[in-house]
Amino acid sequence: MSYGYSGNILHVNLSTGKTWVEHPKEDFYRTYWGGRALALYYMLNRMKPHTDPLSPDNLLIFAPGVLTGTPAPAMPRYTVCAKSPLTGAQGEAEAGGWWGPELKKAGFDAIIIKGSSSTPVYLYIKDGKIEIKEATHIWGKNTGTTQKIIREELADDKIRIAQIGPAGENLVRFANIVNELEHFNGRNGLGAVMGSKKLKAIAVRGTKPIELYNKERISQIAKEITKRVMKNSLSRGLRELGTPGVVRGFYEAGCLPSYNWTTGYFKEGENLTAETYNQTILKGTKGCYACPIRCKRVVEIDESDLKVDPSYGGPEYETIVSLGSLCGISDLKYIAKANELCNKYTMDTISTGMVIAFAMQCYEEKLLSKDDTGGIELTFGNKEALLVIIEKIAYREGLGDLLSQGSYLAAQKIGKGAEKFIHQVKRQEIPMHDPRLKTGVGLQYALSDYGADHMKAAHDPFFKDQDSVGIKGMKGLGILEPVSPTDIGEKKVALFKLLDIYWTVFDILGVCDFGYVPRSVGTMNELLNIICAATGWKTTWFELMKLGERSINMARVFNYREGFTSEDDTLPEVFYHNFKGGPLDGQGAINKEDFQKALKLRYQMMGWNPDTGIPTSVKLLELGLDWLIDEVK
Amino acid sequence: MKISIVLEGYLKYKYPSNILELNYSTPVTIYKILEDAKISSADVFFIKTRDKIVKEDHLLTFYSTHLSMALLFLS
Repeated sequence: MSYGYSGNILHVNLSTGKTWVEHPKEDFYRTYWGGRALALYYMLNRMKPHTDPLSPDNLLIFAPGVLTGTPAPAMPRYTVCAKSPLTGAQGEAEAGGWWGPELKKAGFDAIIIKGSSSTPVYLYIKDGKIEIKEATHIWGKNTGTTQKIIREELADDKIRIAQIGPAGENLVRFANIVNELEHFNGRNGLGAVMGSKKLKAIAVRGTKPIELYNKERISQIAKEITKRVMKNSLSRGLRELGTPGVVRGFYEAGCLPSYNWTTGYFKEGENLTAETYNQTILKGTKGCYACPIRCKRVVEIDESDLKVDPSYGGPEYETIVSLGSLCGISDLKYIAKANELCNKYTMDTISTGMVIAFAMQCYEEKLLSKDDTGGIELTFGNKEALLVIIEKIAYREGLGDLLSQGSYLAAQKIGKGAEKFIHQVKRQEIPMHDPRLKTGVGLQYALSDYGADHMKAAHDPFFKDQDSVGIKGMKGLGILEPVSPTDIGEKKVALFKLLDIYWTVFDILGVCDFGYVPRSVGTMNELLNIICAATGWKTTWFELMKLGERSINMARVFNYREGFTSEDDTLPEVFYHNFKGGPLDGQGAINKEDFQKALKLRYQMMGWNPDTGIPTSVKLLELGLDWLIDEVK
Repeated sequence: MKISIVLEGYLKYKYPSNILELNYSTPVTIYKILEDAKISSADVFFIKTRDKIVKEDHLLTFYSTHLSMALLFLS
């Protein structure tokens, strides 16, 4: 077996209570490596098309990468995959923290869960041993309480726990999975899949070191990168300001998503900036496993009428905006409280904010009445209502039950034209980045296998100028020419084909996007050297890019099998119109025809049918996916 | 004409100060100001003068301008 792997893939059938361990050959690992690629292999082979995402037949797969747990900066991540109950497509979400490294140390490269238990259970994995334990006593408990109880009953406070809260148990379609109370497999409703299996948590403990080919070399590179963290403005920015560092730019420019995307101008944006955050609610910063960047925020509020527990971390950029300006709310303390509630109940803060903002607009436009809201004055800016409605969604009470289905299904049920107030791709609510100023992000929203996502590729501004970090640092991929962030021509399409594949490789390996070029301090060479030193494989960026492309094609085939077509590769209508209000008033609309042309060109560049977007047999052959050719005939 | 440039986001860690001041006696383009201030155009995504977003060829003619250079990055 290659270094970096244990060679053990754990299979669990929760219907029968059986567990077994598979030992794939090295060629299997060298083809699929880990993360989403490995997960998709099983989803395509072991799951029937049109499986109900909340049925026992859905697979729930936890898959770290070969680098997960390597003692180098930004390598803590693992993927969770399943068919998504939110989108009906391939579901996927990556998380950092400590759980992924711990699973590797406990002796497993992945866990594949099938079936459904008749009563609540949790998995306990310690150094290769597996137990399915009864969890009735923690079912219904929030994440903080659950973590405390499991650690106490196993008498080990070093156990790492991935778990769901009440929203996952109640099958909220955008429920997520959390480890260490603050690291999330955030999107796609994978927490609901876990809830449908009556699986409350997976507690892991590993004491064996991960076998690495050349640990000294990794340690040397890690030291070199760590020395530069505070000298590099990007990584230092992440440390000092965290992801909220981008709020000020967006708000000053007038592209901060506000009032359910009706404007980018938020008058009270100053209240949401990283500087205000640091001065008012920040208690400290935290990092993931072995990462010197420490971009995570910790907040604490201890006021007579409002308390926020620091164990649940603090809001990221996405959360500040989705639960803040998007709902017309500018009080950071209430946003921090809303974030804490979402984290206790395990709900994706992007989708939560989006469904609430949608409901607020419906209320203001009189599509929802006070009877519908249970007496809540659900107007934009009502911060008390925000907290109440989050609870109602988690427990699926009243209007919360409707919103728990996601904005797409909620709009269908409300009718009366409500669908014009939702902003989604493949039924997943869009993140808080406006593609009118970053058209490559828009392409990624449209093309993402798992619905709109802002982490599918590095963003356009890194490539705007000859002197930009993406141009200077990514020549090894053939990225030589700058492209304007608002361009949607051929060069942009070619650039984002590469960027999509590049960050997909990160997801497969277990690498955080915030650790390496273009978003941060580590170089492509350093990353490649770490991969070689961890595995002992003399790999190249050529092989790695093929790997990324392979997984993208697998996901595309999975979605095709589920009935998705090129008509699902869309962008919300709002982005084809100019900004309203603020400094960008009257500017910015993306030309719909140009965008459609860009999508077709991307299909062609990917080796897909230009009309249908389906991978061609030739492309599948090239990527060693001949076993999928029958699926696309 | 006194020009104040306010650097936002990570730029405050890249340049010696997050507020740079320059003086000009005649109207000047933002492109020239950036060159004089030694700010790489790679770092500039929004240029805001008062409440307007402008391009690098914008000519500044009014007295005591506050320029804000902002960044677009991901979360």
